[in-house]
Order: sequence, then C-alpha cells, then structure tokens
Amino acid sequence: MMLAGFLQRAIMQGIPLLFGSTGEIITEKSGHLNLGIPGIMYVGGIGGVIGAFLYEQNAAALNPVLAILIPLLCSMIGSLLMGLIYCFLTVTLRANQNVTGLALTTFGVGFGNFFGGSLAKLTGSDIPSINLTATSNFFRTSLPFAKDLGWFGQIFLSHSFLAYTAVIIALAASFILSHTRVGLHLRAVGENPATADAAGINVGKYKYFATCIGSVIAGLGGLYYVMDYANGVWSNDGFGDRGWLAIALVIFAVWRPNISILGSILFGGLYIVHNYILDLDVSGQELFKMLPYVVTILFLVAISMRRKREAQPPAHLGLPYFREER
Amino acid sequence: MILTSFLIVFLEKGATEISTAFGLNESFSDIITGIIIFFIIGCEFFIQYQIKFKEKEAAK
Repeated sequence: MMLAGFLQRAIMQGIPLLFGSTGEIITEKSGHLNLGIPGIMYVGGIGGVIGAFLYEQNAAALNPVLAILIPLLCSMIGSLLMGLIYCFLTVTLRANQNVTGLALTTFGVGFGNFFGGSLAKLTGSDIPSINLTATSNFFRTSLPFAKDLGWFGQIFLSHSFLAYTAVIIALAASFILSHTRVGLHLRAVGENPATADAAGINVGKYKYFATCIGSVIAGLGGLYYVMDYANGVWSNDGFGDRGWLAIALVIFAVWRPNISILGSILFGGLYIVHNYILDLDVSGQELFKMLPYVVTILFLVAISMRRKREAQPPAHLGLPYFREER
Repeated sequence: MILTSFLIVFLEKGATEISTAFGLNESFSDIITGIIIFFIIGCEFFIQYQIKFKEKEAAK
C-alpha cells in the first residue's frame, strides 16, 4: 500500500510539471524558448486564488460550477496576458528571448508573491497565507467509486478533473503536433520560419497562437498546484522551482508531449522520494532533492553525445525571425 | 557589464525602498524591476530600427 501511496503522490506532484512542459513544448515548437514559464505558472496560480478569493468573499452560498469556472477563467486570463507580453516583446519587437523570459519570471514571481501577500493582509490573519478550502474542495472532487477499487483506484482514479485534463491536453497536443496540418505548419515555423513564410504560412500568427496557448496551459499548472496539491492554501514562494523543472522536463521528453506524461510522473516521484526513504538525515534529504536535476543533466549529456536526429530541438529555437533579413 | 549590474541592483534596492516607504509587500520590487526590464528590452527594437508610416507618406 505504501507503493500505491507513493505513486499517487508522484502523479500529484507531476501534474503541474506536465501542464508546464506541455505548454512549453507547444511554445518551443514555434521556435520560441519561453523561460518565463515559472513566472507564468505563478501568475496562473495567483489568478485562480484572486478569483476564488473574491467569489468566496462576495457570494452568500458557493455554487459549485461558478466556484470552479471563476478561478479557472481568472487563471487563464492572467497567464494569457503574460503570454501576450512575451509575444509582443519577442515576436513583434524581436527582443532576445532568454532575457525576456527571465524578466517575465522575475515579474511573474513578484506578481504572485505581491498579490498573495496583499490578499493575506486583507484577510487579517497572522499567517502569511490564504486559505481557500471551500473552493479547493470543489476542485478536488474526484470520482466517487475510486475508494472501492483498492490500489488501482488510489493510483489512477483518485485525482481531480484538472489532473485528467492535463493528460488529455498532453495527448491532444501530441496528436495535433504530429498528425494534423496545423501541427505540421507549427513545426515548419519552428524549424525554418523563412521557408514556412515562403510556403504561405503566416509565421507571426502561428508564433502568437502557439506561445499564448502554451502560456495558458502552463498557467493551469499553477492553478492545479494551489487548488489541488496545496488544498487551496496559497503561501508565498510555495510553488518553488517547479517551473524550472517543467522546462527541464521538455528536454527530457525530447519535445514530445506524450513522453512528457511519463516523464512528469517520474520527475514527480524523484521530487518526493526523500519523504519515502526511511532514516534519512537532513543532508541525505537534500542529496535526494537533487535527483531530478541530476537526471536532467545526465540525460542532456547522453542526448548531445548520441546526436539522434529525432531528439533535437527545433532548428530555429531562440532565434528571432526578420522577414526583411532572410 | 559593471554599469548594467549596478543599474539593476540600484533599481532593485530603490524599488524595495519605495515598497517599504508605502508599506507594501517586499515582492513589489520584483514587479517594478520586471516592468522596467520589459521596457528596456522593448526599446532595443526602436534603437535598431526606425519606424516609417507608409500611409502618411502616401497621403502627402
């Protein structure tokens, strides 16, 4: 039963990473390296918290549908705006993508912590955190018969609807990228925008849509973390470095959302494995917390040594595209 | 490089000073720094390129 519990926790840890990496894969397929994912995930999380907070404060009785829809919409709008800032700077103004991404992370993390702290001040509590258990309970509604099915139910059926959404989005993204015309065009834009442009594909439109959709998906990861994993308790910096881990997962999954599902569960497991090894002292725990990053580094080394053609990033990743300078 | 690093640090410390002066959360400095960096990044385009509006020239 301990293994089932471990796997369940690993999946719960992995879902925010899965959201983030799916969003980042879609973005990177259009040739844009969005290092702002951690910031976008913070904004997605705090957007949901603000929506849920306002609704809980103003509504007399909570309507289950509205209690889910309002945070969801607020979170998506927040991350969409972040995506639009990034798009405007990198696509329209052709700025350096790395710098823009890092600035976006600084901004997003600050935004999340600022509004998180301000809302905590509004509630007047002593602890610097916001408690949204009522909304979180609606988010955490899982299938009623999951408990009757033993370990199978505990591992696969005990999750909330956002977790299944993450898997569905990843599968859909993987299908669209490799089996449809839109996906083919998107990959063409990422590999060689000049050729794509000559073939009559609207490069700017594809880049904008891919980056914005990618940020919205990544923002849902932040929402899942707050509402599901943390039981609706927002605490500043609580989200931690999961955003960076999501970007690492993109490389681990060799730019394929369906591999990223398994990768996210693996990373989630590595992230919490230090809780399940008995008799560990503090230094040992910290060593085990290193594991996901060590795995990423080793995988990067292996990939660059083998140089497989399928396992390469999009050729034009990180480079701006000037129509006049091709 | 030295100049830019000083610029960023001064920005950050100044923003922290603003946030303490107005009794705001200390993360406010991150937001201000982020916004300023956005504008610095954005203005690079206008340093390298000059914008000419076609419609106005056609009207003349």
